[in-house]
Amino acid sequence: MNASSPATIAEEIFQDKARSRKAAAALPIEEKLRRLVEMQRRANQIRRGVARPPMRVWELA
Amino acid sequence: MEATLAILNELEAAGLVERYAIGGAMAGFFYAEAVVTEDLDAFVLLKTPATGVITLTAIYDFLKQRGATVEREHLWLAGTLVQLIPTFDALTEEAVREAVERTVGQVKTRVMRVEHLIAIALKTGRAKDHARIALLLDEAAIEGGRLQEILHRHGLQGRWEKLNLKP
Repeated sequence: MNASSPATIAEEIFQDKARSRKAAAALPIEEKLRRLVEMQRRANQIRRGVARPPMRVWELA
Repeated sequence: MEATLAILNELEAAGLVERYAIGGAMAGFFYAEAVVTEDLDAFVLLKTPATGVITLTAIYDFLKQRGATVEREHLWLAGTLVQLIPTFDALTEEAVREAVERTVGQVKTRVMRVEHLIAIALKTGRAKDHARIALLLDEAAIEGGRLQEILHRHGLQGRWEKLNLKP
């Protein structure tokens, strides 16, 4: 395994994240809606933990 | 969401609104990655009656007949939380008039252009609006010339320069 500086490793991580976000942006709208519903469910798990009212989770046909 | 959009299309076809377009965070889905949001902002261009007094009563009645229920300032419509927002200034009216057609599943709808989304977020000016601008600039295909024209037309160039972001 090649040794890399922390800065180099961090830069590679940031580049991977940027690529991942670009790929997420290019997904079809129907897949983005599925991801939204999943995010709404996860957000509600967090909200319950901090005693915030839950958000409505959409019902996709 | 297809059923929701189909009902909004019916609303427009019935003549209760002149035109509608998706704005806000949901509109951003058509240009950038998904982010968590609770509601779908449907901006509606209303026909102004002779009295000049605009009311959403007829629209709400139409939607309730199709199963919508009122939840605070929202409507729960066919499985989607919807906020109906009448166009409230020249910028939002222009954004609805110039919105582009998109398809979700089998249903056609209309979505504000990304340049209008940026301008509206800039005008609204909350922290989450600035975050949305940054996301769109990072991920969407922006027409720089169109954006500058919109910012100029609606007196937003000063705010844009202050924000110091570039497409």
